[in-house]
Amino acid sequence: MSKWNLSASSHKLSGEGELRAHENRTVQFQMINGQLVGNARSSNAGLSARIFNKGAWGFASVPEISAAAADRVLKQASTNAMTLSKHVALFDRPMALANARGSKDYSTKNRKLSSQEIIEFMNNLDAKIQAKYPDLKSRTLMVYEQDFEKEVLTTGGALCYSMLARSYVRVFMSLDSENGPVDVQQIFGGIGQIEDNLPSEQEVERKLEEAYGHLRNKAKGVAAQAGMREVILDSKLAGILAHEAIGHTTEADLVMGGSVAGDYLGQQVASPLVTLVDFAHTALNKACPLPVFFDDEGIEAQDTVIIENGVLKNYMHSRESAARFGHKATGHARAWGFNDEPLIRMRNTAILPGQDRLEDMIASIDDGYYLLDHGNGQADSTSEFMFGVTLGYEIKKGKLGRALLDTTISGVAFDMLKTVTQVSNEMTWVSSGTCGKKQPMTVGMGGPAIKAQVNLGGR
Amino acid sequence: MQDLNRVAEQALSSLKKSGAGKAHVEVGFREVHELNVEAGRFTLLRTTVDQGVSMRAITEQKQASLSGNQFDDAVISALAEQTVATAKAGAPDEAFDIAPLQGPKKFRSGPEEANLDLMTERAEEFLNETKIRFPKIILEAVTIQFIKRHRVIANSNGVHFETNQNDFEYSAMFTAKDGKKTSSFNYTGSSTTDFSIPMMKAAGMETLLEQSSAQVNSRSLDGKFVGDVIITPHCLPTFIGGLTGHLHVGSLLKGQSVYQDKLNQQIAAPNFCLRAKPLDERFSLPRYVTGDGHMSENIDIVQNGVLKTFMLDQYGANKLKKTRAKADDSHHVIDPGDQSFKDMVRSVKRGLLFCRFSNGSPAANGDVSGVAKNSFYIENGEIRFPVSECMVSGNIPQMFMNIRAISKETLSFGTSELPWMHVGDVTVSGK
Repeated sequence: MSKWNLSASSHKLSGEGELRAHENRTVQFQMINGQLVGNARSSNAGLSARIFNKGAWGFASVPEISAAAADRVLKQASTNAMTLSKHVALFDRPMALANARGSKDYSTKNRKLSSQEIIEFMNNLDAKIQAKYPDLKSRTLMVYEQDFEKEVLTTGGALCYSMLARSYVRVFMSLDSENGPVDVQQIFGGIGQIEDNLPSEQEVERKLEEAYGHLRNKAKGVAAQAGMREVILDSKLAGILAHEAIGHTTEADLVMGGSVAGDYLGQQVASPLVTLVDFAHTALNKACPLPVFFDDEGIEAQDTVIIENGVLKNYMHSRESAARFGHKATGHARAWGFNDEPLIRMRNTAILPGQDRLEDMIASIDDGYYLLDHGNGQADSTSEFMFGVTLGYEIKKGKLGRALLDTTISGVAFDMLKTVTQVSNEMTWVSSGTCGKKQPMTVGMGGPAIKAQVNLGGR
Repeated sequence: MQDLNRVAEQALSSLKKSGAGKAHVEVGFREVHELNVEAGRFTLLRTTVDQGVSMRAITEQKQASLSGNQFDDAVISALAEQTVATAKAGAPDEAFDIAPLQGPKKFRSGPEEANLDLMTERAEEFLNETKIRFPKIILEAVTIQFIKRHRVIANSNGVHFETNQNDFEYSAMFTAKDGKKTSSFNYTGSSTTDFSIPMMKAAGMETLLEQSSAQVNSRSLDGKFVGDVIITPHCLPTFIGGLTGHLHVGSLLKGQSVYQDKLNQQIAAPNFCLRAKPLDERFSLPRYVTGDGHMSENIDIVQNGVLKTFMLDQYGANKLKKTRAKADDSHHVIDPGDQSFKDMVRSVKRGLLFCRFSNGSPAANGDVSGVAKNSFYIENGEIRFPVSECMVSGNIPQMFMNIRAISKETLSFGTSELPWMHVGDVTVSGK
């Protein structure tokens, strides 16, 4: 439920534009080898207005949420739009009516935990890890939460309130090896506040045992052989591929900026086995990891099919870009902070699962790699991508071999996706990453395992 | 605008009243005027105002940091109470501390007010010149800002600094297109106090636009070879970060730094000097005060290849019982060398002009790999053609040991100044 009552300012809005009250809050704790080194909270709140005038936008924001602040930002945003409109070509094609209404609140229903209780949880977890895995070189624990509380009011009649929260426990473990320290991480959590996402003892035990097993293997790991190789990208890598390599190239602002996807609409860009969707809030009858019901322009969020059976079908749009392309706006414009303007952003982007069993896919490779986890990733206007690979194994004659040291993979996505020959029948999502594009943004990424050809870095 | 000194005083006194043994506060105000260009046309003019107060309290050697952007008296008092309560919930560490008595001192840099006419003029001039001289270029995103900053830093030891620092900052991101042929995107930018130099003439903009125009015809390389790379000033920050990242408390505390025991030892070729120069008068935005509240000084990080300091703040220095760095890890300057860029290219038998690196996070031992973006193949001393789908692998600490030459020429980005660096024995692999 909104605490700001923005609707009281609706009579002040005219023309084409929006008002947004917005508060971001963070909680963050960090512990290295049992020592608490980070203990921080922050809150940042304010009000913004954005006004469109003859082809130009004006934006203004102040760190205050009040009726007087609404007057100030609306006046400044109008002045800015008018000033800039003298330097742009007239654009008066109608934009989609921004009239979504609704309220979504992911605040915890559980009792709020104190800092002391969270630190106790971390102390206990660290002590257990130290006792169970005494050979670790270092242990780093992070517990953090990000809350994004917003209310958007538009001239089209939209009034949308949301309190989206996500929180995670991250555990990094490292071991010494002949190649220097190697590390792995395990992440627990997702949508909701810390109180909803602290993992149970059983979950911690199971997942850390799995991560420690990978770490021991990695300590004896080998460098990947550089060059083009046949690989299985497990679901986390398929997810980042969907987001970085394809998703970004099909954001309409990047299409207008020269992205190669601008030439491919309606064309076969991937194997017919590949269907890729940017989901709004529900995927395959389940809630998405970071559901978005309406965007910061007041548009109801709807799924956008980017690639269907290998054919490029749609771009992602803001209201303005949709009007320029003559396409439908499906709610992709989101802003990170109160003083940020909405940009075209992905929500929950995934390659859909296929028919193959992962075991059969591994068995089908004579000499290649099974890549399980990624670090950072970057995309390009050419759809050339690069992902850090932090966990992987050799595949020799259909069986998993030695673990890999950290490496990277790259390829041109619209070429690489044509080499996909198998898609597994199960998919998973991740949601802890933050996408960067002028502003940061929360995003979900998902996918099955896929078999394809990629270029590996390495020795 | 609120009186920041009054807010800082109130924050300090509220922290003490709430039971903080030691207290550090920073109060800031920031106003940004920002002109945006997308796909070659003006799209948005923004005026944003923000403020913030961050409080750090140490009580019973336990510490917490909280921040907010509301300055009402009641909010400041509540934030102070919460900061102390959060600190009390923490764990004690003898290394937590605040800066000793310094100041009071005021610093000022840059122009007083935004000049929107000048910003628009510079933007239009850049858009027009790009359109005429580089017709294949699409200016995907251009941002031109005037940023006004006012900051007060104070602590319970009597530290009091006040800074007023304004500057213009700009960046351009672009792609070239020729029919269906598309280049990789590239970008550059700088900051300036007077905006007297056109955007086209600063931060290597002209060169990058020319390079991107050529990169619509990039080719992949066959196979793999070990060769040389000439790392451009635009690409160098990735590698500087790969070096200095090992000098920070996080890496040292985990025992994972490759430079753990290398102070005063050779970690790079003897022609390599890396400095942090927060007070360099050539820079548009000096950093007068470090993040933990000490007066900054210009420092040598690596002198003639020898590591001269770890980049430790007060906490890191106390924790590891080492010396605190008298500057933050920013405002980097690499001393120019004695070879011209042209001679550097002539000396490469086989390798790359390495212009941008899309790389994975380096492994703990410094191994790194990634895609050489916007780069050119060099053979027998000549730049031959732009490359695509080309990967580079190496070990960052080893690359600094393998520096063959550093260029006479340098590029300034407003808060850093960097040369071209010729490095040997790097693995380059094509398709």
